[in-house]
Amino acid sequence: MEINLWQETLLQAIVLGTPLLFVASGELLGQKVGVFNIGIEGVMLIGAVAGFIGMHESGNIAIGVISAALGGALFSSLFALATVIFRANQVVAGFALWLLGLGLSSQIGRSYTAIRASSPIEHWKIPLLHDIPIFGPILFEHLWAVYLAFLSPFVIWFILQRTRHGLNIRAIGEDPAAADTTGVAVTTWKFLYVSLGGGLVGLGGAFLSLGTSRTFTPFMTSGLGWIGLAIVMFAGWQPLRLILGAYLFGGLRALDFAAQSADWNIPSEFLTMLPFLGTLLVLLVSAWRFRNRPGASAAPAALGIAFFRGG
Amino acid sequence: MIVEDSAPRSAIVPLMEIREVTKRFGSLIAVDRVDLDIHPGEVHAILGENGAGKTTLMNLLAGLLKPDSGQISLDGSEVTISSPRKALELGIGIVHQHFRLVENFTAAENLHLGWNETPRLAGNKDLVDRTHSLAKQFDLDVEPNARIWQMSVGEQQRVAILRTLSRGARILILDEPTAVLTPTEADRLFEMLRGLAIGSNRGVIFISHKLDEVISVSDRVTVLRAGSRVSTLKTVDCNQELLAKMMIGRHLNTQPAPPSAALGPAVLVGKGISARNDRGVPALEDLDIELRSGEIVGVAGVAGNGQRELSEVLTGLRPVDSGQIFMGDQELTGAYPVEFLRAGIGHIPEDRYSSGLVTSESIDHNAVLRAFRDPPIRRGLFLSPAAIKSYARQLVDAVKISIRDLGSSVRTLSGGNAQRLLTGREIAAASKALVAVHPTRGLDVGAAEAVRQVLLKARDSGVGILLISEDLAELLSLSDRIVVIFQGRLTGEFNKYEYDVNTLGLLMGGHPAEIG
Repeated sequence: MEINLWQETLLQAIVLGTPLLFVASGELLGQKVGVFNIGIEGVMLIGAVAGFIGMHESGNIAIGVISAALGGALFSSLFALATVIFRANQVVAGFALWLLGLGLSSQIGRSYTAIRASSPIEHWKIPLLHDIPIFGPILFEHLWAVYLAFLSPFVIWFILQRTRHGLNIRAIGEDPAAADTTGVAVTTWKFLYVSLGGGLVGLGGAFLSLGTSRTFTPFMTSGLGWIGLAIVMFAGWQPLRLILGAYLFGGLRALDFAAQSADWNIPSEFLTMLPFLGTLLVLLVSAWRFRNRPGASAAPAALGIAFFRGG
Repeated sequence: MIVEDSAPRSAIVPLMEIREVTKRFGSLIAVDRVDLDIHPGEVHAILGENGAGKTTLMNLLAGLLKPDSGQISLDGSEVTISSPRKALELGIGIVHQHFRLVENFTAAENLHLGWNETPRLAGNKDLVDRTHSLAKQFDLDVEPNARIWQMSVGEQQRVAILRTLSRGARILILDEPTAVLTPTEADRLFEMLRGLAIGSNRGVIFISHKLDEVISVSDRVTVLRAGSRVSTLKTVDCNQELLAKMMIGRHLNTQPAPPSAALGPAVLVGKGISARNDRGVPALEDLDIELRSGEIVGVAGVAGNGQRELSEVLTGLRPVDSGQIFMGDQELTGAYPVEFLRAGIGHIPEDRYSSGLVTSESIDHNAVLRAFRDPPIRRGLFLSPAAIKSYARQLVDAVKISIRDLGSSVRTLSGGNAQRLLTGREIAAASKALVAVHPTRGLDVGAAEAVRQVLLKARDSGVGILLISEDLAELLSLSDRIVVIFQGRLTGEFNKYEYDVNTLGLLMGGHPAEIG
């Protein structure tokens, strides 16, 4: 029994970490080009509802998932329009995006609540690997979107660290004026990456409505978007560390469920709090590393700053 | 009388032709109907004071600004340089005065940023290898893995120059490229530029306000004044006096400044100082320095030999690993920068924009940065706007800059005026000692002279000044004593009138020299 509970907890850590991994990956894409989107909770909800409607109306899960990504991307492009093109304050625009997403998703999804997903995201057993004792069932019998989420930080890492394009993209977040001087299309890429990131965030929402809950409920993300923001900081803006962060945050939530079902005497609030404590510690350690450089941090240097040519 | 060389060489199509180009900023005409031809194979100097329109003209060619009127042609056909990318495509490469390098990136990353010859798939190792071979090809000493923020300004410039050269620009524009180089490095650069231009289809535009450089590097020179072209001449027909007159309308003062009148007791003293640089590598090793009241001590050295660390240690900005710092009898080792300030030490930092002034703030707020803690500006818990204004007005008048609106941003000041403001502020703070790092770098002749006069006046009123500069002529002219810094140690000391430029050069280069 004890083994099974642990197995179940680890399995749930991955399941609960997956939407966080999508959201954090999407947020990281935006932050790497210098745009801090605190409204991703709203983008997630748009993804959740767009995915569900797409699936429900077409009966096809692929169309559902694509709708979620498109919905998230289009909704984020509104934010990109405000912050990148019109250079609005990112915090203010992010709040607006959050509230807009909250209301809009509830309104659009009103007639779709209390419907079960007819064609949800399916489990994929990875041949051979899922037969490995103990680990097989934990790691290799997941919804297929779990594998997709796991791969996305690797893809992002590869693009950012191993390609010419990625070098240009990182430069936009560090010093857009310098990137501009060398001929990088700063505004275009900022816009595209914020939107692209929104697509990933949308997938995070759809993972809930089409994967785990298999139904759409207003406000169903219940703060996961905000945790996604914390994971980006926890990871020190390094793509591969997002995986650690997402599964750690997911794991603590899973532990919380396990603690409740097994009647352990650990206060739920304590477990919920731990990852944020971890985030604070990571930020402190990072600040200590940069103590000799006032104003510097692990974050992209131009994060949150609008770019004006020649300014 | 000199004949203007404006007649085009009929046989050659100019590489670049600029006709009647004009750029206005509000009511200010920054570039006023300027004509310019760049021939293939020539180094063309553009000479002018700060505010003469050199940088604006360059930004027009770089695609950073759009001209209000006029034409720019390349190879005989008119072009519109709509963006920096377009400029690069057209073969116009620029080494900016502020290098526009990404601080957190390595040299290798900066070199390959936004470059279509960077392999599509390239890990750090590929970038480093490519950087090594490019650095070798152009004979520039660049450490591929070092990050820009860890480098001295001189090292950063080498990265910027290497980047532009690597991209194979047909028209290479250098904006005051020698301001941070040692004489040897500058000579090497001139040689390289000449090599790049001669017999090629490339043209080099060399923007400068240093007359000797213009004369030694260029084939032709165009003099700008107040946004207009004064004249274009063959360099062989020019001399420094002529160019200076065209540029500023008066003659240069190249005389050494009078020596210190009254040498007082020691003020700022460092004993056995060791400190590390930003990379954690020892930058100062067991260094002793003594600054006495009423003297200017010049620190000569090649960029990156501990000058920056020395200036930061002596103003409390950088901790020491060992050694002691005194102001008179008061020990300041380990004290906060504000205690150094209260002890009467002023500081003109290396980069006036990143550490000297708050560019987003107004002129008057910048003026009171050293004085706002005390009455009359501070009134209890509050600051008095009236006192700020009057303090700022006094300061601005004292350094002779005419500013109508003290509330406007420091960014609206020209480089020379910003430096005068900074100098004035720090001299007001420096009742005992002043640490001045490259105080006249990037300034035109007039502004530099004004800053020098202010320094001399402070010295004569009893302030001890540590002058860190890479401009040897300036050091030779102002200093009462010159020390040479090499790899974090002082390797030589000379008194006024006893300098030997050759010995100085050898010591700066790290050669042990026999001192007579």
